[in-house]
Amino acid sequence: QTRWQLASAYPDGNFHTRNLREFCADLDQATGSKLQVQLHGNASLLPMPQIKRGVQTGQVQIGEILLTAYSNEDPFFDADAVPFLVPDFAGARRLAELQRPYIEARLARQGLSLLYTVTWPAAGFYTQVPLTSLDVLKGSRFRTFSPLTNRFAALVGANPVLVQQAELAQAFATGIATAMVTSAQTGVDTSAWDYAKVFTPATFSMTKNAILISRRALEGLPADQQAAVKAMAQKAEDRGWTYAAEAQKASEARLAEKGLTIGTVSPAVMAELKQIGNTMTEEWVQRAGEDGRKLVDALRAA
Amino acid sequence: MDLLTFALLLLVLLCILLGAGLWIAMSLAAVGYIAMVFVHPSPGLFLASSFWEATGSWTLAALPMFVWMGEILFRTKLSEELFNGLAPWVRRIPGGLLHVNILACGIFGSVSGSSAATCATVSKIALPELKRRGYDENVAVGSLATSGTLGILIPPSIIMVVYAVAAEVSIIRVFIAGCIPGLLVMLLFSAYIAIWAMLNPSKQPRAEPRMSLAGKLRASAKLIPCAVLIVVVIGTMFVGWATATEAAAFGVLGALLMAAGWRTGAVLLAADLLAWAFGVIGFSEVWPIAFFALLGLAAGESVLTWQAFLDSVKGATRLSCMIMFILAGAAFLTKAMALTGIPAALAEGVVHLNLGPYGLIAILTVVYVLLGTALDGVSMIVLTTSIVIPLVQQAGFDLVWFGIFIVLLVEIAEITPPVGFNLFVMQTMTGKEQTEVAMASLPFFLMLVLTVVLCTLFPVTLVTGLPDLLLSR
Amino acid sequence: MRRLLDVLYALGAGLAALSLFAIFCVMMAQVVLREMQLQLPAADDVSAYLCVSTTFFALAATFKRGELIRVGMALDRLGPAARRWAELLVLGLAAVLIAYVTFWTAQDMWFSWEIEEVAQGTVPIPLWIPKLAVPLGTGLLLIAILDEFVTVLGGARPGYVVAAEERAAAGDFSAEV
Ligand code: NA
Ligand code: NA
Repeated sequence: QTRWQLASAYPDGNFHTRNLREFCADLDQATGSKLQVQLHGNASLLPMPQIKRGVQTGQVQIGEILLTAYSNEDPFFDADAVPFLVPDFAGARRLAELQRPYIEARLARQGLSLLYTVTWPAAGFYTQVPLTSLDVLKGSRFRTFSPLTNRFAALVGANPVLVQQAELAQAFATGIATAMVTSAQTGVDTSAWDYAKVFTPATFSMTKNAILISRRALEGLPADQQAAVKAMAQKAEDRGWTYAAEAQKASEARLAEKGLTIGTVSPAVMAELKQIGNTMTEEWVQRAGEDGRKLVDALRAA
Repeated sequence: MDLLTFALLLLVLLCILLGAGLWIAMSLAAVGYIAMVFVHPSPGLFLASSFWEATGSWTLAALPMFVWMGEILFRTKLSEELFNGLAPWVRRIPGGLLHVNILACGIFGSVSGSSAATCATVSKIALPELKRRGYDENVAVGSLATSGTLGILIPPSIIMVVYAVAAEVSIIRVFIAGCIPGLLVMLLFSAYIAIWAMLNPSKQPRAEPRMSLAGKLRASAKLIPCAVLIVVVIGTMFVGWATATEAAAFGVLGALLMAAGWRTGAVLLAADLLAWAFGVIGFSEVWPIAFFALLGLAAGESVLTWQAFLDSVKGATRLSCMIMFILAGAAFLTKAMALTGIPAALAEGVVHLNLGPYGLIAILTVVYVLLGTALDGVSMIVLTTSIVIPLVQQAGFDLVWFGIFIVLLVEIAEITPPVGFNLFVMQTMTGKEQTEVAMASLPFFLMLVLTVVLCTLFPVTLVTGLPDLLLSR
Repeated sequence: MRRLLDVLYALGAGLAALSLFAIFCVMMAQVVLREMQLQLPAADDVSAYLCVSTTFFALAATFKRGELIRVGMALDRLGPAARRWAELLVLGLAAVLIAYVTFWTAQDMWFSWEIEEVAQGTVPIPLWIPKLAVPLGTGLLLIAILDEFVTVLGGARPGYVVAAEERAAAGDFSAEV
């Protein structure tokens, strides 16, 4: 009997964590309880920035990360965070498929394998006034948390401010921040109705969580169990994408129910945003090189 | 060996190591190592990562800032002024200046997010004054150790932030929900002091002479710098200058100006007005700087020598080091616990008991008090929420309410041996033994338990009503 | 040798105090720059790292001054001879433990260097640099513990006890924290 540890940083109620719990249960069943995986959610075993290295060192066998958080390591981890690169869930799934071989190759060098990736619901804008034109963002205090969001703020003419997720409510209430971009799910998680007035789903980006496994741990299993892990991972991936779509609808409904105005983007504004997106895609390709060009071309060809 | 026996053995081991005089942070880490050796091939990996993670956090950076602010204030005349300013109003109440402990902790708690920092800062000011005036040391120490925990019940609060993130509830809601229980705790503490004073007339210092209203007001004028400081710290947050963490740095700046005295204040004010006159800054920017200048002006003679400044930095460094080293040790023990599954087993044991809502809360209170003897507040919350939150929701309790409940239990944990931060702080402050400090805190501990009971019986009135009203659900 | 050790502890304490002061500077700079519509890159990461170096560089000095907290009830009840053995025992235990901590935190730092681990924020700061403070600080603490061990072995009372008693005798409990 093998006993593994799985580290995740997301809260227990989150759909990613729910999916992981079901993944663990599936594994238990598929291997006749010969492989048991203990889930440590809520960053109770390892905090977010330590999970990938934790799988590498053997602290845990499986870990869940937000891919784009590792953008400083490699631009390919960042592809799904490039604004307006994909328009919808189908596009995001396609990007995930295209991104996968590159990510797998990079992880392999670090002794890691990719089990599956699941998207977050699409990120949209949180503002105090309806997003009728880009002037709303221009000059705003725009909450950024990564090089890419920083760059977006610069291109749209906003002032980037650094605010921790825990301090969002106070920052908005006092005007330290006046706009931000994140998913409806995160808006629900942080009770966005307490601080923002309008949520505009614009499919800014659809970032993904990745579930990593230590290759040594995986290869140490008997062949049938290895196959079970891979099969259950595939199952979890499909399930996770369904959950994400459900979460998007449910969390938008929840924001509306709590009094946020759900805004829409006019075609003119969308065109301007897409323009910025194109600029940033080009910049990303510069960073990612030949492979990056191939990925973007393949995505657009489809 | 089942988990419960294992847990018990670990607790015994912790008591032995602590009793033998091994430094607390090291005892925690040692027990963590023993626990982890049984469940993981290389505990050292977790040791290194928890030491790094526990001490390297942006929100934690507020702790050394608030500690330093206290160090600077200690070197100003604030200790006397806080007393001379608050004393006239409470001297005729039974218990006299002991009530100042409660008031000062409540006031300081509304600028600080940490219990240990509040306890250290106020004690530093209050203890020598009370001792000098002949107040009963036991009650002074007990009330200070306990009302220091107001730092995490009255917003801002680091513990509340941790809970709100873990339980996915609104931080502002939990903050606001803490206000009324905070006042209630202050009221109960003061009530206890008054009743104790009436029952023990022999232990009271000589009553101080009566004062006219004008005299009282004149004495309280000395509180102006302190009041301005609070306005500065809270104000910088409200006008959107700073986040809760950065506000701590404003506290330091304000304290530095108070210590620098009226000359620096005058220079600053002159520079501010000149800059406005010549159009360098706008009218709206005159005020914040003028506020800081007022701090210096109102504080009187400068006490901030270069030596005093250096001493304040060094002192703050050592106290911060002590606290954060224990946080590191506790973090490692917490990881070990998570891997052994002991906290989960404890919580699951509770589920199988099939209790009603009040029964559940009663059991949870007992469990948290037990956990709180050995764990720090952050660990208590992070380790248990995943099991406890669904239970609590199922039983029909509001999660914002539960946040306040858990903060109250963390407050209790701060004053229960062998691991209680406020006990450690008071140990250092007084040179007393931990048992003595803990015994002195016992009556106030009971007041906290009473608060838990009241908040459970009247959840809407005391806890969830205010946030609902202000944020109009 | 004595002088060299004391200089080392003071150096650690000085670095820690500088780190604490730097936290203040970073926070103020961030506020001021924000008012000027600018951003201090990686301010959150840097202040977190400074918190780490405040903690670990100050360890040895805090220990030597008797300001690391412990429960001294049982020790205080012992006679001088028994007390000496007891102090040697806890110092020995502490030395083993802190040696273990130093070894693993050094490993951790080394691994960060090896895999070129960088911060996840807006600036890719190589993590081995801020992590350096941990093994250096605990290593210095280990030296201080061994220093005390030798002192007690030589028949003298431990420096941290003497320092704490001196403060107590001066009635100076509060000023030291
Ligand atoms: Na507070
Ligand atoms: Na405790």
